[in-house]
Amino acid sequence: MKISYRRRILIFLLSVFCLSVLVFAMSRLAPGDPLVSYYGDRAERMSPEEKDRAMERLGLNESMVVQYVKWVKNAVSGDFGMSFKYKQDVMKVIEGRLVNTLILGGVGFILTFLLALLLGILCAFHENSWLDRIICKVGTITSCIPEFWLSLVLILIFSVNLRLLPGSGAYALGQSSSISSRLTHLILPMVVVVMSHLWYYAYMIRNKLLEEIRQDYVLLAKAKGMSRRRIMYQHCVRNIMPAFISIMAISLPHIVEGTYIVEMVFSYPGIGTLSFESAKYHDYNMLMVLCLITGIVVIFGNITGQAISEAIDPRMKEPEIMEVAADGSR
Amino acid sequence: MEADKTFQLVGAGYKDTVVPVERKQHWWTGRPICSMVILGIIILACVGCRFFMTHDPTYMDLASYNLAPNGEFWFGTDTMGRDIFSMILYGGRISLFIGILATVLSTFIAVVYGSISGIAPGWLDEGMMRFTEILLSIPSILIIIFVQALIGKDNILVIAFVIGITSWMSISKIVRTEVRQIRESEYVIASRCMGGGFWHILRVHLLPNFVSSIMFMVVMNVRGAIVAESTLSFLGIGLPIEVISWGSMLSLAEKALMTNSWWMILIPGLFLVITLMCITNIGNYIRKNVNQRQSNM
Amino acid sequence: MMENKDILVDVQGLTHQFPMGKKKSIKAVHHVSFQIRRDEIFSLVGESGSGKSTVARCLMNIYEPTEGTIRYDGINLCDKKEREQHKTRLQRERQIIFQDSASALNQRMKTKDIVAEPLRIQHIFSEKEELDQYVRQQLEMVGLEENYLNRRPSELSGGQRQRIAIARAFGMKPRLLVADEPIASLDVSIQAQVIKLFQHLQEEHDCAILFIAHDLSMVRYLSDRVGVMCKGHLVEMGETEKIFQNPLHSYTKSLLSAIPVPDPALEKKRSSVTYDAASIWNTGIMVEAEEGHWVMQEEADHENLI
Repeated sequence: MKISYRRRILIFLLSVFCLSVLVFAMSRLAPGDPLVSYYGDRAERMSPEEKDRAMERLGLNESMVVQYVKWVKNAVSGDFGMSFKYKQDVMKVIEGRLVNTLILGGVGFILTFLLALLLGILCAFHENSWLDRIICKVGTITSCIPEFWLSLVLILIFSVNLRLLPGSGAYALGQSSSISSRLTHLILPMVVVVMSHLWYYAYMIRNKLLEEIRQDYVLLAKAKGMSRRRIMYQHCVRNIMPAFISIMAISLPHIVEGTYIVEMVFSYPGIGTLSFESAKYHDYNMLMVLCLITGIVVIFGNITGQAISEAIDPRMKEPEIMEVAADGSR
Repeated sequence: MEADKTFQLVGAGYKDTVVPVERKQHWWTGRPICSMVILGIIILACVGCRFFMTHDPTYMDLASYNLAPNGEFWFGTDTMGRDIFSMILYGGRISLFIGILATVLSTFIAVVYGSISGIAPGWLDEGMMRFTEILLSIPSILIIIFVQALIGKDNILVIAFVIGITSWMSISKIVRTEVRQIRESEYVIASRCMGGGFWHILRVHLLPNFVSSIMFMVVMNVRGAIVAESTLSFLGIGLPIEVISWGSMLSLAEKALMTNSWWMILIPGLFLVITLMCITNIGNYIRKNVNQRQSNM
Repeated sequence: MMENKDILVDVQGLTHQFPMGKKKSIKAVHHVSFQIRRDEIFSLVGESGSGKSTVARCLMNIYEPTEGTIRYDGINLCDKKEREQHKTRLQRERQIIFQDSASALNQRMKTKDIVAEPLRIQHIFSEKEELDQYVRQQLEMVGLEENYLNRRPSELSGGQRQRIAIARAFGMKPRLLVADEPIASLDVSIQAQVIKLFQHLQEEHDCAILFIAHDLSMVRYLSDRVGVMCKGHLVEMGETEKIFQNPLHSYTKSLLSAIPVPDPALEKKRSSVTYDAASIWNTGIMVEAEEGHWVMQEEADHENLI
């Protein structure tokens, strides 16, 4: 079934709407007085009249639906409310950190899949050779290592013992504009992001390719005298491209998750660290916006990914995508 | 070969023909025996930790804190003076317990939700699946943090509950696909005509049919739950330090990094990784082998 | 038409549409009316796709009819409330047998569990031994020995599987059995056995059977009355012999002319009668040609045919 672009946009908007309702409802389920999350300790010292006035001003005495509509109205104009912890506009706090996360996550994402594709092709080429076996073995082992522990071990080795690379933050103190400082701080987190996902996806791509080279057309191409290399690159790799892009789209949440955890361990100032801090300090307003932004990015990625893979190969049907999804979400 | 000249191989490259060496098939061939044995030992040691512990894992020996592995403290002590060896056994019990409890919960939700979605009419099914997709689109760690922040308590059951209710989506998608396939089959229709209710059909007809296809995911879910617990506890928003688990042991890592006490990071982590690897191996064994055909290349 | 006491199932103006996409729909069954008496075997014949199975499934409430009423022993099956009221009774008294025995039996269950399933759902036996005994008895009735009790459907032949389905259905002592092409997937020698079995069980249990088939000779042998369906319409209905000897509707004539004759000399001469397919698309009304023999006629040529 080919889905039109209009329908895709509709699905996207609907998903975002549901997501926002979900997140909003969840944040309102939060225990304790919502006033506390706006005014902090000050709320406890307020008199009942003051409380009433504050409630009214924040619109908390109205029904959930009205509150939600108001919140959406403000959100559309870019006003997501105040962060309790930072006493600042939520968007202002996020803005600065979003870039950091995008650098780490985005570059990590692309790097992971480029390397995974290369490794996958390499393995498929030399199926059952020692190289293939080692990569598969290493792959299963690394996919079992939790990201936070891998980060810890790398910090222990490279930062504490060898003193080669910095183990936390995004830049050295007072050097926020120095590119070399930023780059050295980026190396370890990036290695973790890439390492912890690379093998698994390489393994998946290898399996897809192995399936592909068992197709009859490969035999035909070989009989015609095509070289192995050309068969692989011109036919097999090209044929798994839609599946590859689907895998990329569907694994987006996993990579984002990995990035967030890595950020938390390295106290890299990004969205992940921020969400962790706001959870710790019960900054629901912030947490809500973070969930929303992440969700929107991922949903957008998913839908675009599916659109691209369908545009490349119209045969790519829903069930196939499902299968990849089942595979991808381990 | 020699006996029958009629079918002798001729032509270019006939010498390349490989006579397959028949390998003796043992009952353990292809089975993850090693993983099962190691996992069994770890589970046994954790369950019966009382008989193996050399020290009281909760006792803080202020005289001997932050010691490297030695004769008395086999794996060293942590910054609070607790014996790491005893803590690993004692804490492993909690980590494994959370892993299993969370998986039971999430599998239950997944099976019920997926079956309902599979049986439901088109529009409801569409809506329910969109809902899971939305939940899947938020990284699970973020949902866990969110829910955990909302509940605000941190004991073993709450953590298992939070992990459980945030990790059922992928399984339920598979369940739903399987149910869609089975639900039109006549034995389900017949059963409905006989008066079999939802639970009856689920238990008698659906569950046995998709149990094999979700088994792999269920096993992987145990792994995911253990990772999630340790990550949460490590970050300090899961179990508190007093409740010993592999994750909360690692939450002392920051202090360990400062004093360069490698044993506090490496040893509990190794146990964690080995357990996860054994679970993965068993899970992979459950999953069917795909590529059995001869390559065309 | 018939005396009310005798009628178990009364179908009036049954219409069922399958929605195809948002706007289109396919009418699988078109204003079909018939009755089934308490102890008769009523057969529906017709080519595949003529809506026989849809009628059967409507009778079992697997499909909700778009229009029309179905009364089972006075209970309106199209009314959800009424159905809910008599739920247990309906579930016990109506049983169905499907065409494909392989998909009608769960491959993962043992024979004894398959036969026991409806009995368990309806809590008919409280003692486990009693249930076992009864299941064994039922299997014996359909000619399966005790060593089949612990086998799974995949280990059995098609005929044996269909026997299990029959045992499952008759085990509930039904008053109405819907047999949806139960012999179509079996080979000929087994068909005869299964038909015999049906006959035997029907006499023993004294129930009504709605029998759906496209094998006309089997239908003639087995059933008391026959309804002929074509493209969703019931075009002719009456006692078996009357229809087979004196078919009135052109479609029935054509259908009957297709029966092979077990005599090579006659078989050579046999020619198939064609019919005008277009005429059947139009709606007609059922007219009683002779007593108990109804035929559908176009309203226009009301007088011509008789």
